[in-house]
Amino acid sequence: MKNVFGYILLVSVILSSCRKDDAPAFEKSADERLNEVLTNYQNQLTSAENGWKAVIYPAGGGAFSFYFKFNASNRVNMVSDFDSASAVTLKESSYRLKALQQPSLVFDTYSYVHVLADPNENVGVKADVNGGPVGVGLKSDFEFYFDSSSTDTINLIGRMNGSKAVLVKATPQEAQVFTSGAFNINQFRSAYGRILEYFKRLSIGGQTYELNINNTTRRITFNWLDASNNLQSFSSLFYFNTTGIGFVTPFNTGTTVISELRNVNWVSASNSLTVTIGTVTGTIAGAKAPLKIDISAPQRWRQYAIDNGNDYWYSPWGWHSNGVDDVLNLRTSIPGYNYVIYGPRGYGGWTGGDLCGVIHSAGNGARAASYAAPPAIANGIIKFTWLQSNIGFGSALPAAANNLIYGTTNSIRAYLTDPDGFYLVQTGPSSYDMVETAEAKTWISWLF
Amino acid sequence: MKLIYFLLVVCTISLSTSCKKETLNSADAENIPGLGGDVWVKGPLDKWIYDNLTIPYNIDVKYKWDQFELELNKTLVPPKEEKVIPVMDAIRKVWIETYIAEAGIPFFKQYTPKFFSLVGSASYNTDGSATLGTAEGGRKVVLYQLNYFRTKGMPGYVRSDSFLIKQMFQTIQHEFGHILHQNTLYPPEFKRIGQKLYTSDWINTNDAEANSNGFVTAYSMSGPDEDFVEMIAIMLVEGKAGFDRIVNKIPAGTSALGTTDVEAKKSLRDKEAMVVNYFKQVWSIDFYSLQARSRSAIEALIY
Repeated sequence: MKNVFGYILLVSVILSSCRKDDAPAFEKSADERLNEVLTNYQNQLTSAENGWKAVIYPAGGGAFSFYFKFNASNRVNMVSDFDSASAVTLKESSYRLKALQQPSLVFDTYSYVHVLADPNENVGVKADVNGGPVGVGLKSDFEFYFDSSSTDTINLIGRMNGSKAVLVKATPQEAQVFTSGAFNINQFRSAYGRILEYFKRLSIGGQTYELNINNTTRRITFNWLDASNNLQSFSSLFYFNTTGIGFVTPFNTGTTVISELRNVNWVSASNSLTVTIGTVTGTIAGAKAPLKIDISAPQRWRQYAIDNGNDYWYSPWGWHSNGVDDVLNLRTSIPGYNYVIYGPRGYGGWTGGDLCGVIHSAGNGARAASYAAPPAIANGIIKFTWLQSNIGFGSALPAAANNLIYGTTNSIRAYLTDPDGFYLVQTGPSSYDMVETAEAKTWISWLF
Repeated sequence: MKLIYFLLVVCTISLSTSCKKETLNSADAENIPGLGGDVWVKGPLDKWIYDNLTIPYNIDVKYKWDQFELELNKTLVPPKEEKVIPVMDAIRKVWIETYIAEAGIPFFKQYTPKFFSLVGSASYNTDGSATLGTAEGGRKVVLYQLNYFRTKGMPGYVRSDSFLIKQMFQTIQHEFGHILHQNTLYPPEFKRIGQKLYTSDWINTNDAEANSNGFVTAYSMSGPDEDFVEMIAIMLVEGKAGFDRIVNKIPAGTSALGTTDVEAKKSLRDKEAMVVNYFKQVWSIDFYSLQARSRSAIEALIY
């Protein structure tokens, strides 16, 4: 008897469970809706009559600005701030909208977008396209899905690496700059490079910030002193735009928000730059000393090499002075030049003092001079005293090359034994810049 | 019994009522995005491919990015547009036209791979090596690193660019060789020439070592099929003189695997003879004539 109730229940469930309502949840089929979305995106891209300015943020780091002008024939014209040539050379390639897992925009033949994603080459062909590791590149993307969009802005996300891209409708003025070859990223760089001092200060609205712009990593850093004289810091990635540089993360100073530096101009009368921020004009000028001297930096710098296997600091570029990179021409004058090194006492088994010299691949050699160890450090300034030349390992170098290392003038030795000594500025977990103190126009960047 | 009967009734009722009877409308199928392949507005490049490769030889070329033709986990980029015609024109001159001159259009249309996929960069493997060409099922050939493809006369051409050119044709000839022997197998004697030396450990040998054991490349040590098509590929790409050079430069003495230089040279010459004979018997192709045409077409690109 119990079973009968079970059957009744079962039957009623079966008979009542299917509601025969054929009305679909959507008015159109999934395919129709997908086609519609793709068409809408395509129309949105092509209908921007002045094109789109864009910033791509590769998953591997950095930020690069682009200008895109899409047409209805699956062609796109673009420039990019990747380098000074790609900024002024309008290049045409192909794109298409495609239904992948999401509606996607695919740049489907090689373009400036692909330069960032290029894996570089070292088999058969040697090619370093973007400075990223071989087989990986900058982990950028050229297949993007539409994350969100409004009339004027489209947010894209890379399908392979998850890079981000933001497209914003360009104004007629911007389109004019981008398409006429007037997008000159060197203008900012060269104006900025006219300040010869290592330390640069931005004065705006009664405040002073120490500025550091790294063109390789595309990072801008602001340092300032707070009320209790402590150093504060803010940094952001930046990209080039039509009037200067734009920040990925705007800098909120407390009184104003700085999102870009515009119209940077050299004023020779005052040896400084004028720059526009919002509606305010500021100045950037060189300084002979940091805002706040990092007192313990010289000791930390030397100790780091001792603590990490008694190894050496190295500098591929050598000395920079008065606006000239590699002022001693080490890269061209020393056969097989690899880099300048500084090794604290004990490096390479040499116990006579600290070593400074050159590692070269001509017979796997090293030539160095020896310096008093430990060097004199006082008030955050380090000074080096020369002891002995021609500390050599491996094969010898020609006399002219040796002179560049430990001659008494115009040599690594001469620069290192500058009587005014050096500040050390930590630029990363294992990188320091060593800056001469009297003029701050001479420095060397140490890597580990 | 009652229970079964009852269940049958229930099943019948539910089956007869629960299915929605809907007729399929064939017009709906046309709305499926991507069905029948991607579409884009055809440009001059598409027209060149259609006119010069698709119409005469039934070959299609995909130069636009499509990740699904490639390995999904590799960092690759599509080719530069300006490289597509030079690459495909070189393929036409070196591979298509030479085979047609020897064997005729019907042969070529019947047996060739029908689909080329072009990639701008090499495909890097986790061990640091790179793949420069692959093929699948006798239908598709993928060519890599084409953004660096340069032939004589193109700006920036240096002699080392010939590496990439030869590599590309080696891939194509290799894959076409597979198609040929998969249609009609080479004589079984070929397998016996170096039978004991085929090894899965070929990856740890180099070409010079392979030569000293009677193999034309390291890869040909992986098995008789690969050996056979590597012979075809190297002989067609390097030419008669180039192949002779490979044989003659085998140093005197015994290899690490116990092959003497005399044995190694004899192995290579025996294999050469079998390849030539196979082309004559099976396909009525004069291999040496094909080889001369193929090599001179390559030389025209690099010297």
